[in-house]
Amino acid sequence: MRKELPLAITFISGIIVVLANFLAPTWFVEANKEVTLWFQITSALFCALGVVNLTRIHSKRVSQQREGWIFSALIIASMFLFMGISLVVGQQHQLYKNMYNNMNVPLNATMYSILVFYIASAAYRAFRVRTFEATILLVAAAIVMLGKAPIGEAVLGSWVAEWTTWILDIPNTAGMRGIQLGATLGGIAMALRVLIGIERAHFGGTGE
Amino acid sequence: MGNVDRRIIYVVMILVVVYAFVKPMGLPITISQHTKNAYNAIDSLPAGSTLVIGFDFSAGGIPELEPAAKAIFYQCMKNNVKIVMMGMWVMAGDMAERVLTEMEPLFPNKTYGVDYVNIGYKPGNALLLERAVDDIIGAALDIDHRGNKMSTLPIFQEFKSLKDADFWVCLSTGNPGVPDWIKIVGDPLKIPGTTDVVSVSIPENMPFVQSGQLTGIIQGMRGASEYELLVNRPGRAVAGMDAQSLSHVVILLFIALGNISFLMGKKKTG
Repeated sequence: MRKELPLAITFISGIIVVLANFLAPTWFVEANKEVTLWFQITSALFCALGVVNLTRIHSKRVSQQREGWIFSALIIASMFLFMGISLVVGQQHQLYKNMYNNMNVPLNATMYSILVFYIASAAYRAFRVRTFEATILLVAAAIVMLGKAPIGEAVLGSWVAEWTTWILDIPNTAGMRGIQLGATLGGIAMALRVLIGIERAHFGGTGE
Repeated sequence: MGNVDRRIIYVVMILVVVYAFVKPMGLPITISQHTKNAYNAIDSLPAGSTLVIGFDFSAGGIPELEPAAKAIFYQCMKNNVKIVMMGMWVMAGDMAERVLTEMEPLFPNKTYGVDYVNIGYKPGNALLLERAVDDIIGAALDIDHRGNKMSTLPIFQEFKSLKDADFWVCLSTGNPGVPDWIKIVGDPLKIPGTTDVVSVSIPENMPFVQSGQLTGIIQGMRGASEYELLVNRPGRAVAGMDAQSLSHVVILLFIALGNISFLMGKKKTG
C-alpha cells in the first residue's frame, strides 16, 4: 500500500491535468481546478515541513556539538527570530522592514554578487584558445561582453552593439531553441514515466 | 602570467567597480530595439488599463531588475495605467514593497488598492498563475501583502482574474518565471507581455522574443539603464553601467593575459 497509494494519487491527479488541458470536458476542467487548489495548499505545507526539517537537523548538530555547530545554532536562531517578529508585529512594521532590508536582502544579494569574482577567475583560467570551437566561443563572448557594456561602443564603435544583437538574435536563438525543444521532449518522456509509475525516484530511496 | 593568484583578480575587480562608482565616467548609453519595443508596448496602453508585474526574483536580482521595475511603475503611474504586483517567488512581496517605498512619495495622488496593489508571494509556483487565470482573489486567498482583504479593494472590483490584464511583465531570475507566464497567460489568453531578466538569462529567453511571445525584452542591468533613460529618470542602472563596463574590460584583459601565456607556453613546448 505504501507504493500503490502514492502511485494511484500520482496517476489520477496527473491524468486529470493532462485530460483537462487536451480534451477539456467540463468535468475534467473542474477536477483540474480542484487538483490545482490542493497543490497550492500542499505547497504552503512544504514551508512548514521545511521549518520542521531544518530545526530537526540543525538542533541535532548543535546538541552533539558537531563541527560548525555554531552555524547551525545561527540558522535556528535567525529563522525563529524572523518568524517570531513577522508573526508578532506583521510584515509592514518598520522593525520587520529594517531587519529584512538590512539583513536578509544584503545577505541574499551578496551570495549572488560574489559570482562576479568567481566568473572573472574562472574565465581567466578556463577560456583558452585550445581548439577552433573554443576560439569561436571566446570571440563571441568577447564581442557580447563589450556590446553589453557602454565602453564597447564608446571605444570600438557601433559595430560591437550590432554584432552583439546579431549573435544573441540569430545563432544564440537557434541554439537555445534546439536545447529547449530537446529538454521539453525529455520532460514529456519523464512526465509519462512518472505518470505510469515507471519512474519512482520521487518516492525516495532507490525506487525498488 | 598564466597563473595569477585568484585573490589578485578579486582585488582588481573590487577596485575597478569601486572606482567606477566613485568616479563616474558617464559613458553614452544607446537604446536597443528590444528595450524600445518593451517600452513602446507599455507606453501605448490606454489610461485605465491594468498591467500585471510578476516579481519572480529574490534579492540577488535587485541590482539588475529593480531599476526597471521602478521605471515601469513610474511610466504606468504617469500614464494612469493600473498595476497589480504579484509573484511566484517567496521574496516577491518584499521586492515589490521596495519599489513602492521609493515610488509612492512621487505619486501622492495615486492610492494603494485603487491604482496599484501588491498581492505579494502566494504559494503554488506556476499553478498560482493557473488559478489566478480564473480567480485572482481565490488564488491569493483574499489577502494582499499588506494584510488587506483583497475583496474590499476597489482595484479588484474590475480586475477579477488575469484575463482582465492588458499587459504583463515578468521580472525574472529563473524558474518559475517567463515560460510559465507565456504558457499560462500570454499564449492561451492572447495577452501581450514582456520580461526583464538578469543577464545570464538573456540567451534562454531570446527564442520567445523572436517568436513574438514576448514583446521586446529588457536585458539585464544594461536594458534597465536603457529603460531608465526612456522614462527620463536615470537611476541606479545608469549609474551601474560604468562599473559593468570596467568589470567587463578587466575580465577580458585577464582572459587575454591567460591566452597569451597559454600560446607562449605552447610555442615553447613545440
